[in-house]
Amino acid sequence: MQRYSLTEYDEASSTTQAVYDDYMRTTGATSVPIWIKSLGHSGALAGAYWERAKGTLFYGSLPLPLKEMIVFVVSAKNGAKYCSACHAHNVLNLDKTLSFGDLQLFLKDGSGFQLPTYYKSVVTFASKVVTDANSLSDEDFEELMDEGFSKEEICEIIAVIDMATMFNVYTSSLRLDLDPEYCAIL
Amino acid sequence: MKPTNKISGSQWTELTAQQLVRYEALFKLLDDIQILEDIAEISRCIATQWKYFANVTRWRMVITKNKSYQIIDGYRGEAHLSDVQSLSPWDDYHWKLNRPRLIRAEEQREGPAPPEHLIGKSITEIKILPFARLGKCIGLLSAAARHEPFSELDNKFIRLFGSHFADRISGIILQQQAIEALISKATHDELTGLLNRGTIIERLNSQLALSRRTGQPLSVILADIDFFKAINDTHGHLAGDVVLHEGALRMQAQVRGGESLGRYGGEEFLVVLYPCDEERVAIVAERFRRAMAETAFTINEVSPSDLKVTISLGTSSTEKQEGIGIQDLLKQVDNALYCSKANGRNNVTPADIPHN
Repeated sequence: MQRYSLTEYDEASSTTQAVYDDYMRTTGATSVPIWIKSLGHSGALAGAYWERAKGTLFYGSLPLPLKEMIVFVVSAKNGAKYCSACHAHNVLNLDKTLSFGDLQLFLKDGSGFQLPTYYKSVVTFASKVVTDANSLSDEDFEELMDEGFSKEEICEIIAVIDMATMFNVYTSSLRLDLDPEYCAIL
Repeated sequence: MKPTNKISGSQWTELTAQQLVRYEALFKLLDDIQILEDIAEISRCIATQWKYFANVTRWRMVITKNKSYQIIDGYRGEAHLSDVQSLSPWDDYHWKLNRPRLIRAEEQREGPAPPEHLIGKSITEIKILPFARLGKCIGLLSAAARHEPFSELDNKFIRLFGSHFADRISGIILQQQAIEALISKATHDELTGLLNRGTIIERLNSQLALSRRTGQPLSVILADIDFFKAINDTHGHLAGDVVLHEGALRMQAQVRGGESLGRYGGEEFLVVLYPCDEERVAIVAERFRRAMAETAFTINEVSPSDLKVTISLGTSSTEKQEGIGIQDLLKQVDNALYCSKANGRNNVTPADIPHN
């Protein structure tokens, strides 16, 4: 059973169209992905989810590739097929030298390709948050601070993890189909 | 970051996203530090952003600041600023050496120890870069590499950014010093170094307004050097200048918190005291009088000769005269000073305050 319905641009309300427009303007894409279309029946919901994604991913001081990597790692840990494919695609798009195998290896033991050293600490931190946020110790924060992250940046890392989890719950519950361009990498 | 061997083509096309992240972070930071004016704010930005374009999370920048040094330490995503009069052995050694150095962790036992935040098991090496302008060292950067030694690209970014960083902080310090010098020139008397007439009157105005708001009394002292014209006529104008300068120093030494001293006219000095009542202003005026009269002035350094210099003083207070204006207060204190002169000089006279 398909658990959701998609609202195409021409059928959408003006509020939803405004959200679609803002998504395309912000990302440079010429169409909107399935996850937004599945929310298109409600301009308010589509807007709320998009604003959360936009505010977390496109603003702040963390570099976008690091945020994409966090979302990918969290989604993979949560077994969220749609989100991990989507963000694997984004990470791979950001770095043409990477293959999906590299990402899988990195997910497994933090190795496989050359990344700045702070990536490994951030990914370890994110994995721990996903497993059990209550298990985070001061030492986990200290480790990130030793990597040069300020307290404000660590808050931003947690916000990205939290946003990814929110999208994981939504996309997995609905068993969203993958956008055509993401299928190829899984 | 090391280039991978998976791609082919010219170097130009080998840019990976991580390299682009480096450039983006560097350009953004260069932009930010040009826009920001506050050294603490600039340093905070650098403390979080540097790791995104080079493997630098722990660093120290030393910049000359007149006769002292501005130290900025970056670690754990934060910047810590301090002003020091003399450099630590590490900074002093490298400042004098005045050439780039790379010290690996295992070599750190030789020479002065690095700052505490640049020591640790994850530190692999420390890059030290002096930044010279017109042959003179203006800044010294010590940047520590963690986990891995600095790559070639790291080193290039550290040198490039470090130079901009040193220039920006040095430029802000110079600008601040120039502004302070201009303000000082505009508000101070050149010969005595005291507040000039305009500034001391302005101070009186603002303190008077404060006194009205709080109800606490304000007092003023007007002092005039006795027989100053005779000093000029007998010993020359240079001697007159020495008396003014030395007299100002002596009076300035008597100034306490809540008291402002300025050169009011040729040989006249105005002291504004807030909060201060009639009783206390008389005591303070007497302190000034004694500071001048008790020790003779030396007016010629080549063939020193002692000269006894005294001042006459008048005092007035807003106590029991709530709402009195600045002009009336100055007139009262001027009359009091005139009385001191008429009564033989070298004394203090309180203003004759009209009673309702």
